[in-house]
Formats: sequence, C-alpha cells, structure tokens
Amino acid sequence: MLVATVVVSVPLTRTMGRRACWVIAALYLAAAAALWPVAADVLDGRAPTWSVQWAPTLGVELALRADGLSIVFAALALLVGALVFAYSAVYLAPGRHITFALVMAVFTTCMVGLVLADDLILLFICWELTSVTSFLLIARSGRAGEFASMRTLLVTFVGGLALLVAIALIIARVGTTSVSEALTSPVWHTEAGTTTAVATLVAIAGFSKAAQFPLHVWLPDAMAAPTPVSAYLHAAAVVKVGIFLLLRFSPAFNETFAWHLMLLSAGFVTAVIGARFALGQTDLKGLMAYSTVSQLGLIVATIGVGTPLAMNAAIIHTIAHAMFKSGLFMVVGIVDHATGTRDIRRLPPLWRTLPGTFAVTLLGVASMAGLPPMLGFISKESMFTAFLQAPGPAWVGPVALSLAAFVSVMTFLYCAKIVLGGFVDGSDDRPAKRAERPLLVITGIPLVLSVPLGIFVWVLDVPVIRAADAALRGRPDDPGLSVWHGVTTELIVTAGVVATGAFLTVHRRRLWRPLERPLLPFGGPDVIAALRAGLRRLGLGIVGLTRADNPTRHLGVIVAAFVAASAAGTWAVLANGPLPHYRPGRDTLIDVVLLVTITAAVVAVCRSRTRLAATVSLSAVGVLMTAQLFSLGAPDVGQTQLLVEMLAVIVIMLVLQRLPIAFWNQAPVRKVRVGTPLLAIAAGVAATVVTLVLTGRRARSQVGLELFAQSEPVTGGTNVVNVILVEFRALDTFGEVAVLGMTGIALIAVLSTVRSDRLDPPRMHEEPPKPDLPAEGAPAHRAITVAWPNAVRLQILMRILTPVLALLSLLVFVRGHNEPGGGFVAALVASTIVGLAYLSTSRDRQIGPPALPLWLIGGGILFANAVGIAGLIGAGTFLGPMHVSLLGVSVASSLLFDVGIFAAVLGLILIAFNILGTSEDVFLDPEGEETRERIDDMVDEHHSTGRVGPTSRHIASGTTPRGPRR
Amino acid sequence: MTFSPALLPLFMVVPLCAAAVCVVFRGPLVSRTLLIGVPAATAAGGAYLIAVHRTTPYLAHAVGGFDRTVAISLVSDMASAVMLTVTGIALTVSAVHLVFTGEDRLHFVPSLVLMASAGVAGAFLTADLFNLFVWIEVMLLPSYALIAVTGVWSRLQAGRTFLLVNVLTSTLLLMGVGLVYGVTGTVNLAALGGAAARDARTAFAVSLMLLALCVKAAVVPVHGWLRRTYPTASAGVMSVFAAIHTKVALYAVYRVYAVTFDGEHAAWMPLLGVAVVATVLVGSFATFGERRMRTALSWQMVSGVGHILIGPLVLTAAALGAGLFYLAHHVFTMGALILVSGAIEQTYGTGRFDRLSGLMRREPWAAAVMALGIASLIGLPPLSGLWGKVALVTAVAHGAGAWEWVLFAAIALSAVVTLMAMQRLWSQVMWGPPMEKYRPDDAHTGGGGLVDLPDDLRIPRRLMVTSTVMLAISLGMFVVPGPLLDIADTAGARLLDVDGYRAAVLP
Repeated sequence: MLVATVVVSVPLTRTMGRRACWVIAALYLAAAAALWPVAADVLDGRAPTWSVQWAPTLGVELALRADGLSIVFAALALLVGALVFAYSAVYLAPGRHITFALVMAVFTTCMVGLVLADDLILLFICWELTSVTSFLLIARSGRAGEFASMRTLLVTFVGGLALLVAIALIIARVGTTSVSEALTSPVWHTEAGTTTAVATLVAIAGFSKAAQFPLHVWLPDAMAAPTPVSAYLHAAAVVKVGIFLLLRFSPAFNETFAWHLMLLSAGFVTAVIGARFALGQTDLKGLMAYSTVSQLGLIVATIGVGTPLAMNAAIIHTIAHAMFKSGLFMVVGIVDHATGTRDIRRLPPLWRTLPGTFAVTLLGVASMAGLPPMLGFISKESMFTAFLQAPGPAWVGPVALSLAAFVSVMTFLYCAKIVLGGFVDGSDDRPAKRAERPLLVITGIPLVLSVPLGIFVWVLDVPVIRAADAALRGRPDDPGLSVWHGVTTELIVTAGVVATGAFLTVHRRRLWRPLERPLLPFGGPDVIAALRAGLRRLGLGIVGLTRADNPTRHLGVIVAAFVAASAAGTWAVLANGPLPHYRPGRDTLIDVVLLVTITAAVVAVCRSRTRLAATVSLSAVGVLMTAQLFSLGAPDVGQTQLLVEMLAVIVIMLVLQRLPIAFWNQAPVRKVRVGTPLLAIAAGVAATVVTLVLTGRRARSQVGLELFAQSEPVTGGTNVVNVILVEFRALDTFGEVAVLGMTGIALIAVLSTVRSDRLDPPRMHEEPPKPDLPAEGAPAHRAITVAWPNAVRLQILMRILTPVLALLSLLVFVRGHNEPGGGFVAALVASTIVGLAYLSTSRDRQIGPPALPLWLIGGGILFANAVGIAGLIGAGTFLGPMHVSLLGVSVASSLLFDVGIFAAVLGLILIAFNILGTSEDVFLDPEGEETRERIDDMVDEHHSTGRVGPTSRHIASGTTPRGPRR
Repeated sequence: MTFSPALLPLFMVVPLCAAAVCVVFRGPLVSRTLLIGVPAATAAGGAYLIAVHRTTPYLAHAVGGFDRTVAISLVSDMASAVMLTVTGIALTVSAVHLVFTGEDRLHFVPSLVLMASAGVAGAFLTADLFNLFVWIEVMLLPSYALIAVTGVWSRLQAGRTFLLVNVLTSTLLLMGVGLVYGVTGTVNLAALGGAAARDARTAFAVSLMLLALCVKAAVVPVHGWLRRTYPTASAGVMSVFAAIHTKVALYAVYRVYAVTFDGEHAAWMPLLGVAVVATVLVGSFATFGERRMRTALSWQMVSGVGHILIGPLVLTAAALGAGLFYLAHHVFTMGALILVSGAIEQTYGTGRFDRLSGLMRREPWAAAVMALGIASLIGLPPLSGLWGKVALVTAVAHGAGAWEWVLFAAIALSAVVTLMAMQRLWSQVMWGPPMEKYRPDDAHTGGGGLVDLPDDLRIPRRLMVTSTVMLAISLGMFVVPGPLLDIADTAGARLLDVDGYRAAVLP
C-alpha cells in the first residue's frame, strides 16, 4: 500500500500540484486501515509474520513481524503522516512538490518497514533510509537547509555505523539475523562483555536519531526545513525512530548496568540542556525544537529505568508527545503564515487576531506542560511514578524524580513562553492575516484529541500493554491508565511543579532577558566546522607526505620496504632453524670479478655528469651482465641479452641527440647526499642476503628434470632453452612478444600527442653557423658539406652485407630449435641491416614504407595468435605443438610461432629507428622530415580514415592538428 | 552448463588479436566495434563461467598439452570468473566513455586498451607465478602509454613516475618469483599449495612477492604513486585504470596468499593488519587534503584497497567473499564517480572545487549521479556500498578475533571522514552561488582563459550515459544482493579450498 503511495506520488503531484497531498493523506489513512487486521491480531496477543528471502548468504530476509511496539509506532507514522500531508495541501505554496511528496512517502514507507522489520539487516537498511530521506527533506529546503542537512546526515550516519557494528556483533554472537530470536537469545545473560559493547553501540545509534546529548546538534539545525517536514520529522518520525530502537532492544539489555546508566544519564542531561536552550530561544520554531530535545531526553531516561511501569510511561509519553508536538509545530506554521515571522520579539498579540489558533495552542501547551486532564498529564504522571519506583539503591528514585520535576518546571516555563510570548505579550503592531480554516482544523485535530484521550485514557490500555510487553518480553504489567489515581507523591510533585512554574511565569519579564543571552560562545555547528577544519589540515598533511613528482620519493619507499621485508624475513628464517646445506660448486672466480666490475660500472653511471658518459657506463653494466649469463651457461639468454643491450644503447643514443649534453646546466650544488647511497647499499646487501638464504640450497628441481627429460622426446628440439621458450612456456613468450611489439605502438601513441614544439625544436630561420672551411672544391670542403660521398663506402658495403646478414638471420632463426638462436635473436640480427641502412644513407629519411613497422607488429602478433589458435583447433590446446607440411618440408608450429616473434621485434626496431632517428640536421634542411611528419606518415596512411580530428586530440593533449607537409 | 577448459586462452587471445587488428586497421568502425565489443565479450564469457562454476568448481587446462608439471596451467574458478566479469563490464563502459569523448581516436588508444584487457584476463586465469608476472606486464605496458596519451599537461611527468614505480615493482615481483623457484623448484601455484605454511623459507620468498603485489595495489606506505599518476590521465582512462591495475594486484594477493599459506595466517599478519588499517584511514583522511574532484577520488581508491584487503587479513571464506563483493562494488561506484567528474571537467573546463559552483541546479542529472555515487561510497542504501559494508563488517564480526574492534573502528572512522570529505566536495561543487565564469577548452592551447559561462552550456547527454550505467549496476547490486553475495561467498570458499585447486590443476 505504501509502496503504491510512493509510486503514485510522482504522477499525482505532477498533475495535481499541492492538492495531491490530500490524496496522499487519504492513502495514508487507507494504509493505516489496511494495517488494522494485523493490529487487531497483535492486540489479541499474536504476532503475525511475513517473509521473503533476500540475501540468503548473509541470512537476510525481507522479514516482517508485527508486535505491540510496531503497531504503536506504525500508527504514529501513518496517522501523523496523514495529518501532515493534509496540512501540506493547504500550507505549501501552490505548485508541484514532487520531491516533497515522494521523499515523504519513501520516508514513511521506510519507517513502517523499520518498525515492522524482523530482520536485523532489514532494520538497518530501513534505518539508513530514514536517515537519507530526512537528509533530503531538509536539504531540499533551499540554501539555509544545505549545511544543516549535511550536519544532520553526518550525525545520523555516525549512529548508523554504530548500529551496523552492533548488528554485525549480534549476528556473529547469536547466529541469527532475526530480530525476535536475537533479542531472546541467552547470550545476553551469559556474555556480559559483548552485551555491554552491543548495548553501548545501540544506545549511540538510538541517541543519534533521538537527538540525545551530544548528538542532538542536528535537530535544531533541521528547523530550516518547511513546517510540515518539521512537524513530521520532529514529532512523529525521525526522533521516534530513535526511541523505537531503544525500546526494541531493551529486552536484550535489561540486565546490563551500562545500558541503564547510559540511558538515564544521557536522558536527564539532554532533558535539562534541551529545556534550558528552549528557554533561551526567541524563535518559536527553535523553541519547539529544543523542547523536543528535552522531551525526548525524558523519554530516554524513562526507558533507562527499565521497569514495566517505565516502559508504559515511555510509550504513553511518546504518543502524547507525537500528538501535541505535531500540532504545535503546525501552529508555528500558521503563525509564520499569518505574520511572516516566528520571532517572539516581533510578534503582535496574536490571541486577538488568531483566537482559534490560540485556543488549540493552549490545549497543546497544556498537554506538554502536563496539566490535567490532558494526555500529557497522564504520561508525565506515569513517568514520575516510573522514576520514583526506579530499581537500584534507595536514593535513585527520589533523585530521578526531583530531576524530572526540575525539568518539568522548565517545561512549564517554556510552555508559558510559547503562549504568552507568542500570543499575549507582543507589543509589535505588524498586521496578521487570518488563519486559513482548513489549516486550523487539521492543526486542531491532534491537539484537541489530547483531551478525550486524557479522560478516556483506558482505550490506550491494551496497545500500551502490548507495546511495553514487546519492549520487555513477557512481563506484562497493567498500567491502570486513568486520570485520577488519588493523591499520590506524583500528584503532589506535579502540583509543586505547576505552582513553581506559575510563580516564575508571573515574574517572566525579569527572567526572559538573561535567559536569552547566548549560553555558550560556540554551538554544535561550530564544533562540526572546527572538526572539518582540523580534518582538512590533517588531510593536507597526509597528502603532503607523498606530494612529489620526483620519482625518487616514491621509489625510495618501495626500496626501503623491500629492505625492511628482507631483513625481517631473513631474521625469521634464521630464527626458525638451520638453513639447508649450501650446494657446492656454484661459485666461481669470475663471479667475483664480475661483481667488482659491475659495481664499478654502476657507480660510474651514478657519478657521471654527462648523459653520454652515463650511457657508456650503463652499456658496460649490460655487457657485464651478459658475461654473467654466459658464465652461468645460458648462451641463448646471453645472446639475447647482448643484442638487447646493443639495441637499447642505440635507442638511447638516438634520444640523447635531442637532449643537453650534461645532466645539469651548471655544476650541481655540492651537497653531500647520504640517504640515497645508503639506501642503495642496503638494497644491494638485502638482495644478496636474500639470494644466499633462498637459493642454491636444493637439488635440481622436479620441473628442471622433467624439462630435460621431455624436451627431445616431446618436441624434437634439443636446445632446452629454446624449447622452453617456444614450446613448454610458449604462453609466456606469447605475452612478451605482445609487450615488445606494442612497445613500438606505445611509443608512437605517446609521441603523437606531444605538442609539436616540444617534439621538434623550432626551425632555425637564420643561416646555420658556417665553419671556417677550406676553399671550395677541396676534398675537405666536400667532406663536410656534401653528405653522400661520406656514405658511399658504407652503401657499397651494404650491398654485400645485406644478403649476408639476411642469411645469417635466417640461419639463426631456423637452427633455434636445437642450437642457440630463434626468432628473437634472428630479428635482432636482421635489425642490424636496418641499423646499417640507416647509417649508410646520406640524408635522414625513413627506412622502408612508412606503415611497414605497424604491419610487422600487428601482423606478427596476429600470426603468433593464428599459430596458437591453429594449435587449439588441430591439437586441442592453444599453442599445441603441430607439424605442418610447407612446400614439402615438415615445419613445426613452434617455428611458425617464431615467425610472429621475428616480425614483431623487427617492427619495434624499425619504429625506434624511424621515429627517433631524426637528427638536428633535419631542422637545418628545409626538405627534412620532422618527427611529427614521420609519425603522421606512419599512422595516417589513409588520410581520410586515420586522421585525428581537432575534436578529440586537442581535448587530451592541447596539440594543434597539423597537416603533413610534403 | 559446460565449458571446455581448452578455450580459456581465448580470454587473452581475442583481445590481443583485436589489439593487433586495431594497430593495422585504424578506421573508426573497426576500432570502435572491437574496443567496446571485446571487453563486452569478456564480461559475457566471465558471466558464463560464473554459471558454469556453480556446479563445476574448477576448470584447469595445461597450455600446449604438455606434462602438467612443466606446462603453464590456466585455471578458472569462481573468483577468477567474477573478476573477469567485473573488469569486463567496467572496461566496456569505460570504452564507451572513451568513444563518447573522442579519445579513442587518439593514435592507438583502442589497441592499448584492448591489450591491457588481455593482460588483465591472463592475470586472472593463470596458475603459474611467472606467467602471472608476464600478464601483469602485458597489462602495464599499454598503461604506460595510456597515462601519457590523455589528460592534463603534466601527464608525461606522471607517466614517468608511473613507469618507474611499476618497473621497479615488477623487478621486485620477478625477484620474488625467482626466489620462490629457488626455494621450491616450481612456480606452479597448485604445486605450491600450502608450501608457505609448511616451510619458513618458502613463506619468505612468497612474502617478498606479495610485497611487490601490495605496492602495485597501492597499500600504505607504498601508495603515493597512485595519487600522483591516475588523476593526470583523462577520466575515461582513469576509469579503465581503476578497474584493472590495483584490482589485478589485489586479486593476485587473494589467490597467492590463500593458496600458498593454505588459509593460515602468515607470521606477518599483524603487519598486514597495520598496513590495512593505515590504508583504509590514510585514503579517507587524505581525501580532505585535495581540491580537485578526481584527485580526491584517487584517495578513495586507496581507501577502497584497504577495505578490500580486509578479506585476506581476516582470511575466512566469508571475509574473502565479502572482500570480492566489495571489490566489485568499488569498481562500479568509483567508475560512476570518476566518469561523472570527467563529464563535469570536460564541460566546465576544470575539476577544481573553487572554480566550480552551484552545479546542482544547472546539472541535476550529474548531481544525482554524484550524490548516489557518494552514498554508495560510504555505504548508504539503496546502493551496492551498503551490502559491501554490511558483508565486510559481518565477516569481521565473525572471524577477525583480536582485530575485530580495530577493524570496526577503522571502517567506521573511514566512512565518517569520507562522508565529511565528500560533503566538502559536494557543497563546493554542487551548492553555492551559480557559476558565472569558466575556462573552456581551447583548440590551440588546451586550457583557455576565463570567460563568461554561456547560459545554454550543459554536459552533453552522451557524456552522462556511462556514469549512469555504472551507477545503475551499483543500484542493481543493492536490489538483488542474494545471488551476487552467494557467488562471492562461493568464490571465497573456493579460494581457500587448496586441495580442490591442487587436484584440479595437478591431477
């Protein structure tokens, strides 16, 4: 039914504007009526249930179960909701209020779901949804509500987290998600620690919504919302959700001392503080808000007493409060409409212009102040009784009663302030409009009803008993609700309260002014703002720890983590017992030589001032590493390593020609840096120790033996390394080929988005500097000014070398399966052809067709894939070994796989040469191709399809699209 | 339902082929079809595998048909299938975003994204530690380029940091793999099942490997690189990254830790606990220190990593399942937030809080997506974050022992601080006075000068599609948590079933 309300609220408000609220009010009443059979069941002492599986893994069901508490709170939510909607139909400005109606309807649905929920998680979700919707209701009320709504969300969110942890603990300890089962679990009697923890968390959650000190800050804030929202949220809904939670969980914590202590102390503190703040307010609505805080404090303290009488009292007062406070909020709305202000100091004596409003206000205030025969009187009397009979040491009852009496005096005073300040004492003569009659009627309903309910209070007997029963589990106690109990202590206290209150009211003029002074130099919002500022500073600090674009800062931490982990791990291993025996015969003299020379080379890299020197030292490291590989007996790997090193050096050199010679323009500041070298040494030591501890201490592995044993019989190859690469672990190679090939693609991708003026230095317009040349025609002059004669010898050599190198490459390729070689090395050999060709040209130009490298890379990867898929089809497994007959020769599929590798690697090398190979000379030569053009050439083979339009490229890179110049 | 294990390599082969095709044929039709279609196919395949794994726990295949001790094995189980599906969907949506912003027309972007997705799938499916390294490299290489291709002017510098950090970390990872081989003589994960629990030296070697993976996952204190690099890429690329790098590393931590330690806590578990709590908190607190939308979100990614690592920290089936669910939730939620921030940035020329203002009235749709995304991030209903948080907290309550209260406090504190930090973002960007000036993109210089904001300037509708889809997924995860949590729980249980894993891979 409610879901239906939510659904229809949107189209209704869209079509009917504010009048849709009438319909929604009717729907609420209908929903209440629909709940009646359930309620009747409950009143007869049954507990109807309904459930559907939702998340079975967590044991979550959409389980509903009605009991006395649910019925009372559901009725409050629906009936007050209906009133509020009816009020809104008149109160709101004409027009659509789609979000208002929608969010209100969602809120009510969630609240009803919450009170009916029999599943802890469902209860939690509904709880959070009520937080979210109340946030939305406040947030949608314009600028003033924005920050208030943020604070509301924050406070209720904290409560929600506490509830979540509590619920998780309950589920873990009790082993069920059912609310009814969890509450009756024996765990609460046996595990005092858990119970106290859960009780504390539940209390925090309840306090956050029921606005208990110090989590009350959001409630006065929330007054930014329009009156109907306030009337609903602060009379019947959000705050009552908090009360409901405390009541709901009371059965579990009845034996927990901390629970009672928390509720009593927080309740009374809140009641006193709330009342004190209420007295200090001059805004009628603010006064109402703080009075709500105070009243809620009393209810919470009553729940904290924990006796059956107290539960009865808490529930009756909850009902009474819902009635008088919703009515009084609506009164404030009427006053606001009539005069345009809610400030007591600026209100005229309204009782003359708004007599009807004045009358119902009197009733409501009488109920709040606890005057007979209102319902408020009865609830207050029952609370006094509950306090007086509080369990525990003898002094507790009287102390609690006197506190409550003190609060009641203050209540009486602020009630007087509402009536006298709002309607009688005013001196302002601003005009007041008459109240709209429907508004008055609706406002009057809950206030006037307090009278008959007070007199015939026995009609509430059964529901209250059932509710209290649910809040205490099986200890019913007849509340004997009636107006007249005879002359009891409570009645005498009430009389005293009224007398004191009346006396002070007479002297109110001297009282208000000092009370209205600001009590504290700061308020709740200031506290939250200060917290926010503190967090901002802390956040800036944390961000500052890693705010560095210098990679050293990031790398240093990683290296340090490695060193620390190595040290700790080594210690742990050594503490664990002796290491396995170190296998002899692994260390040779050459290792020491290599260690020393490599270290020296690395130090040289670090200490070099110029880029060229660093490159040379770096290549020395590479070559020495290669030597290490050869000394270990891995010629394949060594070969590959050597060629890769060569290639890397060539690429580095190509890049270097665009960079300054030295790393620093001036000599670096002579600052002794200790940290970095120390860290480097520590890392080296750590790596050495780890290697010593973890390697060289076992026999040849099962895997190694298998590889040797299976290599020839299974694959027909005798070069185990190559067989591993292209057969056993072909999938690794497959991935690495993709990495290699795509490196070239990545290179183009990055360079193509770099701004042109960063990619190529601007062309010089002045004449290049002319060296002091010998006379024209002299050989020396020719050698410098004309390029091609210099290259001619190399070009002739190329004629011979190219076929030789090609043949060599082929040879290396084919023999790979049995001897050192293979596609990777072959491609590197072939790349020397490219390198020579590049060196031998007289002018800088690209080698081969511009798009060739792309085809080589893309084609190579595709070919390797195709071989793999052929294996999948032919041999039933990806990259499965097969033999195909090619031109009458039996060829292993692994050889074809090698072709893919060959192509991809060659493509990468071509890209490196072609893209990076532009030299400074190009910029002197008007015909020379710039890097940008080379890239464009390579990519934009088809200018129609491949072009990057300005719409896309400039967004990301800010480059100017530039056509190729031919 | 059946699935031939021999087809598992296709999860890598198809994207790689597509990447190669996109290198050669660069027309918009071909590249866009592949860029969107292939990740979508991966997601569909992953979903199919999830269905298969409801009855068949493991699908294992020795590539090349060699003896299983020497061959590389691919294994699919519930966890890997979930990861394939989640990253597949996230990549598809991000790819659509790249198409809508036109970034896919930058040279080779489709190829690079597709290749990265191949690496991601390989890392999820392999049961071989060295092969894992290879696939992580396959994923990272295109990322080096992607980060430097799109985004703000400082992207090349960020790209350098990203490259150096990852090369160093990959070296550490490779060292770890080598040391594992040095101790045990195998890199087959199934053969290593429980080995680290039995032998201290194996535990040491595996731990060094896990350390490298933690760097890649951006765990505090080795987290700084993420904030310095991700936000400099464009929103579309950042959304791709958010779904892959750290998530692959996290998955590898889950798998390697659970299998090699056979479900027992390592000796350094308290250290992991400290790191996890620090990650959760540093991520959320640092969010306060930022003033741009996507840099703030990058810290939330760090915090999310901490949350996800609660799974292996607690190391029960429920906790691992909860962690996986949280991972999925986080991918979609972050995706939605990153993409909606990107749409705002692209339209209004900046992501800075102080330059944006009052956008809620101008852009109600974007505001709604952002609000719901934030709600999901902190775990409010009705979004996936709620179940993520509930599942994690419940798992902690069930099995975290002494760490229980520390983790409760960390999760709660992080959520509150995140809420406050996001409120700051929201109130500066969405509330406040209407915007009057902005910096439009300039075709020649990138960022332009301040000019009056035209009244009719709005986020183009197509740019809002992707974030809305991500959010819709998060919403869907809230509505039907039953089967999803069930899948996650199964995945968690299978991760800990080391005997079953071993029996499947090495029969």
